Amino acid sequence: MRHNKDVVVFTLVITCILLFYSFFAAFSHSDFLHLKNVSILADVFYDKQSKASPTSTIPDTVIAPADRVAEEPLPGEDTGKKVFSKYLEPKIITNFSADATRPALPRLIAKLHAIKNGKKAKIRVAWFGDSLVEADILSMEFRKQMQQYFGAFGVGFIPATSITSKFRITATHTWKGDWAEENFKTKDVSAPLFFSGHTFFTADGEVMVQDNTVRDTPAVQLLEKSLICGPSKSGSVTLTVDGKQKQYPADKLVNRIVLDNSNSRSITVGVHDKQLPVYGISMEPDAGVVVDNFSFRGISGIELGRFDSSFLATLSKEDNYDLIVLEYGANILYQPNEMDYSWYGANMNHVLRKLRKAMPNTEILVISTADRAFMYNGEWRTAKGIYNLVKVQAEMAYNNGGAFYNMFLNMGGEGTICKWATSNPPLAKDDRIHPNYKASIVMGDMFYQSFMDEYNKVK
Amino acid sequence: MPIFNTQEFLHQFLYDPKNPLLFNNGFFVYFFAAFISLYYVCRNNIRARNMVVTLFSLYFFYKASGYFVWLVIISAITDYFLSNAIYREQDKRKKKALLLLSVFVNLGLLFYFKYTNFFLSLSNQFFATHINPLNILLPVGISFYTFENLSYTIDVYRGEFEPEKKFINYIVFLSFFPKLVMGPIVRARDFLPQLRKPYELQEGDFAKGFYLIVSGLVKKLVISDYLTLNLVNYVFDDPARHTGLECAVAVFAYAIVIYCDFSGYSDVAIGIAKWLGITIPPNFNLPYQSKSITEFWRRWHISLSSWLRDCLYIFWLGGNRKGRARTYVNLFITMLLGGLWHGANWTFIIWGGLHGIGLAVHKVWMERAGGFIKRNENNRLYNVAAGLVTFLFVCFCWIFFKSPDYATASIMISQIFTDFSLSVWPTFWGTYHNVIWIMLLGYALHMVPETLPGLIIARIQKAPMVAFVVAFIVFLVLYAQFKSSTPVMPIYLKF
Repeated sequence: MRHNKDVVVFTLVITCILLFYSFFAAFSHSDFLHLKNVSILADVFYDKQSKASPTSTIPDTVIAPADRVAEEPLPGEDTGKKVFSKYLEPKIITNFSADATRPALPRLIAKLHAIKNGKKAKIRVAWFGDSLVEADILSMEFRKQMQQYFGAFGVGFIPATSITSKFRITATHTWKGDWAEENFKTKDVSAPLFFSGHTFFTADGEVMVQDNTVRDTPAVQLLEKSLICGPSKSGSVTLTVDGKQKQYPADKLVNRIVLDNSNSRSITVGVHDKQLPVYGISMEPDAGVVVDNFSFRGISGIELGRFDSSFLATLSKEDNYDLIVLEYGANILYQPNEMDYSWYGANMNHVLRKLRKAMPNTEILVISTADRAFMYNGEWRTAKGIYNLVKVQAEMAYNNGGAFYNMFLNMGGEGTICKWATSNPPLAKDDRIHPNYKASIVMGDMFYQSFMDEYNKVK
Repeated sequence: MPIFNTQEFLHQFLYDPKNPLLFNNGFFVYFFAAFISLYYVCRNNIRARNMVVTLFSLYFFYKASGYFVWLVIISAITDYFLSNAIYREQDKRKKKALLLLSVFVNLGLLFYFKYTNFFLSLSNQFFATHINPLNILLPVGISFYTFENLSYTIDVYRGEFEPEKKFINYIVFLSFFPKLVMGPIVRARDFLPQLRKPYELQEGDFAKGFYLIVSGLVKKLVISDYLTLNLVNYVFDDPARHTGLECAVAVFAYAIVIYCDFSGYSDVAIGIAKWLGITIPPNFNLPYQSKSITEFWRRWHISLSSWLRDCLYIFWLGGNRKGRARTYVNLFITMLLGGLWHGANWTFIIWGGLHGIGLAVHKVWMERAGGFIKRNENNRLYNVAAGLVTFLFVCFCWIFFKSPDYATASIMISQIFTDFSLSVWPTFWGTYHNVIWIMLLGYALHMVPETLPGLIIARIQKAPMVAFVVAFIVFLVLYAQFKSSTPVMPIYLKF
């Protein structure tokens, strides 16, 4: 009979402990060991603020951030009056200037005008992001329209190996042989990481790339194919290019070795030096707009702080990136009830300062998070803290002399990703994080239109 | 300052379709505390005790499935009267007619709720009819209690069992809350006699129930939910975006997900029943240790496979009594219908069909290579190879089970076989190493010797009550670390 009692005693003791703890947790702000997760009073006893609709977190009045972090304005940067609340305006890229007649990215726009007027120059854009841009769809749409308007072609950078190669439609990319890899997740790297966040090593590997962005361009146009790598110990490297072996100098911190400049749109490169840090292949025109997609799944952007400063400076000198686009968000919004993203802003300020210092001629554009939803009380809803994150991202741009594009607002704001996931045909994945191909094209086109509005401000 | 929301408090007692009552809901803690107290108070009065079980079970079902609770009551009334009529009837033809009526009523309800729209879509596809799908919600647990009703009337028809005379006992059998929503499918001949016994737990029953409940919750809430949310759903949502390596790992992860999800929930159900003095036979027995597909079905969802064997394969189709060729066909049909039982979708039919073919092929192999198999019974290499082939076949079939449609399953298979490269492993490991560790933990738990749980239970049964309380708190702390804001509904809830 005692054993019958065991069940009752155990159940009642556990119920009392849980009730006691849940009551305590309801009145406590701390969440020791995340035990609030197992509160059995959470549904009936709650904080007014935590259950409020996400809409209520829209700032009623926008106060401009007081602590401007960047020490010096960029050359050519708009130093006039700035209005922080401009980040809430739809369909614009803003550098927060009160003067709406001036473009948000003045030096890039000036350079584009020069190209349009016949000057032979190269514009290089580094588009950083997470899994939302890993298939190179949004950046592909921007690249395609820019290259159509300003005249150029070429997919840009392709890493030596990639987990996303099969669904990247802008390039056909395969590789052979053993490739070792170091990346953002590697604790101690033996060579500086490239913008892609990777460094590869191979004793006898081969990489084949076919550029699919030039399918419709006349065959007479030339496509420059380069291997991007670190320094070789001997100062030169032997490569097999389309079956022919040749030696190339590789003595700089970062080398862009031009392998071929024909109208062929594919290349096969064999590397035979296991100590050579290999980054990837670039396929680009000798002039015009190049958009490099530097996506890395699962990161927030803080990882960019791992770039080596002298490497960045060399890269800036050699490759001269005109624009850095930072598009992150999904991996910052990983806690459904998180409301405070100041930690993210603080970390990213360090990253932006580092980039600005090492690459003084490069303009920076922060693209806000896209809409992301979580399940709240059995219902998919936009992340509660999304407005706070967008504001923090705008502050990052504002404080560091950068420009800002509000992707969340422009894609439709709160609830959009939920609508997209259930629309017919669907425009987003079931995870309510990733817009699908169709939606990414629309988002890329909208961004391009906003960019061209800035371009057209200069006559 | 937190606010007590009276409206929300009262709402907790009503059915919420977005938050059906499951064993891991906060509400279940109150539910079970109230239930066990009353159950204990009524322990010496069998009638009152069964009344308590009935009321709490029907309320549990209402909280899980809303007003579909009436279907359970109607099913119970119908089968209670029909089974007694079958038993009393002496005329064989009338007896058979009554059995057919029971089958018609039970399968009719199941067919209407589960398969109407599937067959309407087939009609639209093949006969160019333009019938709009009907707005039909699937009552939770209907596949489980329908099969319990059917086995009951079939057993009575075959004279293997005298029907229950007390309606209250029959409704307890059908609605017993630990197994009502997702099984195991319990046979009346095993269950009903236990209701007539006094509530008395033996030494070790509390520890056994505790072990099953906690290990089941760990399997479901920690291992299965973590793998589902952090890898499996990502990959199966869009396999074309993932490499062959990711797809293959997702399939192996899903093998653990479905095992931990369903066997975990079954273990909790069996453990709670054990605490109430009711023994329900195990539903899983380390299925991935099987060395043949036939053995797999003796270890996987045992309550369903034994139901299919007894009530469909042997009773309706004739089993192996109608010749060799017919045996193979019967195996195939049984598994095909077993696949359809899971859901009205071609992917389940393909899954069932593949298992049917697997069983038939294994039967041929047993007949042709019986001597070889016997000679190698204790050959380690043969056993490892046989286990590996069985496991890989089962995993291949899971692709169809998990995929929402045939196209997704095809992409998944194509990615695994045409885009598999270990060169992406470093990146994959960087992103998913926690997933891999949890997956390995799942496999490690599965590979323990069959005798280990018994040894653990024997060890812990002498432990003082405070040790059990501490152990449960440790489990709660662990669960708190893994609990996600996105609730993961048990896979078999939709069946």
